[in-house]
Amino acid sequence: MTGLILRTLAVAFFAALALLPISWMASMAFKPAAEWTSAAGTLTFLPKDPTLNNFRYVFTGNSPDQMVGLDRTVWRPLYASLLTAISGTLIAVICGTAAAYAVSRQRIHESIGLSLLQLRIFPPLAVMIPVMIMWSFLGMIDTWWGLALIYGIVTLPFSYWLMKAYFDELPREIEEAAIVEGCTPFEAFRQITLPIVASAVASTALFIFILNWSDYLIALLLTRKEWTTIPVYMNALATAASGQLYGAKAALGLLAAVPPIILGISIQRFLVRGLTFGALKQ
Amino acid sequence: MASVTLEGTSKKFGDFIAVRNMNLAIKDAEFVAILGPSGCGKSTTMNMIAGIEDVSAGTIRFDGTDVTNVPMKKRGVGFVFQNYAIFTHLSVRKNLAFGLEVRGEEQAEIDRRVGEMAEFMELSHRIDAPSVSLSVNELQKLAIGRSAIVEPSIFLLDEPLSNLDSAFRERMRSDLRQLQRSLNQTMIYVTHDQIEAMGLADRIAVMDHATLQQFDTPENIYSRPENTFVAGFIGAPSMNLVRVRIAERGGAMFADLAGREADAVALDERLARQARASGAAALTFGFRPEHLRISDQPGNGSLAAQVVLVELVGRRKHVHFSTGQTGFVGSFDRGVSLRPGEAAHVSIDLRKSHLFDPETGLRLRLGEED
Repeated sequence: MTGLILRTLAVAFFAALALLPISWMASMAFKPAAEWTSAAGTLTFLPKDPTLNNFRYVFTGNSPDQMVGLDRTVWRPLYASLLTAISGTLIAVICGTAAAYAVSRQRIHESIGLSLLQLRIFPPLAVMIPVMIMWSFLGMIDTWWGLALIYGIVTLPFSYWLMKAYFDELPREIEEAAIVEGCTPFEAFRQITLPIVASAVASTALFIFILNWSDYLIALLLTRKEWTTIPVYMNALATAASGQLYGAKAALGLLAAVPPIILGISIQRFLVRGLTFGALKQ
Repeated sequence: MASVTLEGTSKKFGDFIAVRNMNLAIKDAEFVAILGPSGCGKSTTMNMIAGIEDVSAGTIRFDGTDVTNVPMKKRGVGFVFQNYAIFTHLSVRKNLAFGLEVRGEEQAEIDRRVGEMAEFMELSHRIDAPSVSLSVNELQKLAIGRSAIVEPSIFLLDEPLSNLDSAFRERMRSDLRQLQRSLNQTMIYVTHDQIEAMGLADRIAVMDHATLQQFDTPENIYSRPENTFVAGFIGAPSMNLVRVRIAERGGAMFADLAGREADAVALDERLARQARASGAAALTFGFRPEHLRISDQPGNGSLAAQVVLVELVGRRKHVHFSTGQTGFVGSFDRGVSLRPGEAAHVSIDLRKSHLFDPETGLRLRLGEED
């Protein structure tokens, strides 16, 4: 009994530790400017005078709290983030799934998997500076497709390795059974394999979307103004009059957490169903 | 209806030879078991017949037509996989209907045949259940039903019963036999279980080390094994294979067990002729444990041996004997009273015994019908 209590306490402690920054951010998002820092007196955890002004500020560019308006609202970066993260995820999941399936089934050299990892062996900056030079040369700096493409490329190894593990686990007899029954190999893949690995594709896509959505470095290097994404925009949230706009940043941080959560909930059915692959004897 | 012929069929994976120069002529509507230890190439042989693996050399014919390069989707064989390969995202009904739907049958016809097959396989009560919810026994029935429903003229089964409990396995054995008769199919059945093979098959192909050892009826496989591998593989306990020296004394031929004159077995006319024709000084003498008799008095041609170990196996008693130099096993009715340490006089039924060449392992024979 004491064991259970101690364990619960320990879990609660670590949960609180993990949730502290998030709850701080959530509380900050509803604080008026005067409460952002201790400059105004005491610093409290909960807002003394809750307000939606921070949200109004990032969406409209104006707030009763602030004397100076924002020259850019969040709408454009939000659109840029959604477009590039979703496109990049589609590229990585489609190409990664196709590649993983081919390597898993066709006895192709598995070295392809290692060569895909090249991008991940080096520190991100060592890779991204040359990419920036190439992208600049190709005229792809500050384009949504330039950013989406590199998102697809850098997350491809994840989707390849995750999907390869799933395909390796799925016995090829399942497809062979469909082909023996008269399907073409492609029909077998579409009608049998893909529905069975749908949950794996969904969880892979979610994982990659979160990676792309939260990227800062790549967007910082490859965008200028038109297609800056939310993390880059958030960093730039400061005015000469007020300095760092902590409340606005917190409001934006809270908003940025919404898409992954919505996505996670909408594919929850696939995630929780678990990976019950192929009814096998084992 | 179809016959299946393999002519010089081989399969290599890199340097590894999985099947070597296989020649097999399976008749229309025949039930053939491919039997052998794990890794002997029996599943690869099956996969080549289905077209899952392409062949490295040789030919495969269905009804005389060369299908060596026909892709598996067009061979039209039924295949039941060892791990069942059930489409887990589909219901039982959808699994059963799969082959018919791919072939573009009318919906009414599909419904009728799915209903019939579910009835035969006793899956009617689970027809709309998701296939993941089935028990192992039900998965097995579903796997067989899904392949059988399109009534393939050639039906291949890869160790389909190896995961079932023994009572259900017996049931499935007779169901399979019934299915094969009613559809008049050519059925090829891979197994490592000799009891299954002996009980089910019209003929058995015994394989070892990528090579076909013998292809014959269960009766001949048991009583006239082609070589020492088949002799040792079939039967439980397996055939005694004892090194003997062949000697002629006083006009009679003797086989001296382990080269000892004191443990000589006088050969009968058939074995004596075989031994003489081979001209070899040393041979392997094979006799089944079932073909030993015990007496308490030394008799004509009996061996003096000591009982080492007695095992009770079901209604039988397996007795391990030693002559001092070599040992062998006898299988008797459990009524026989033998205890470890006792001396016994053992005589061997020579009409059912064989001599093998120790070099090649082949059984000695004089004529075709020997």
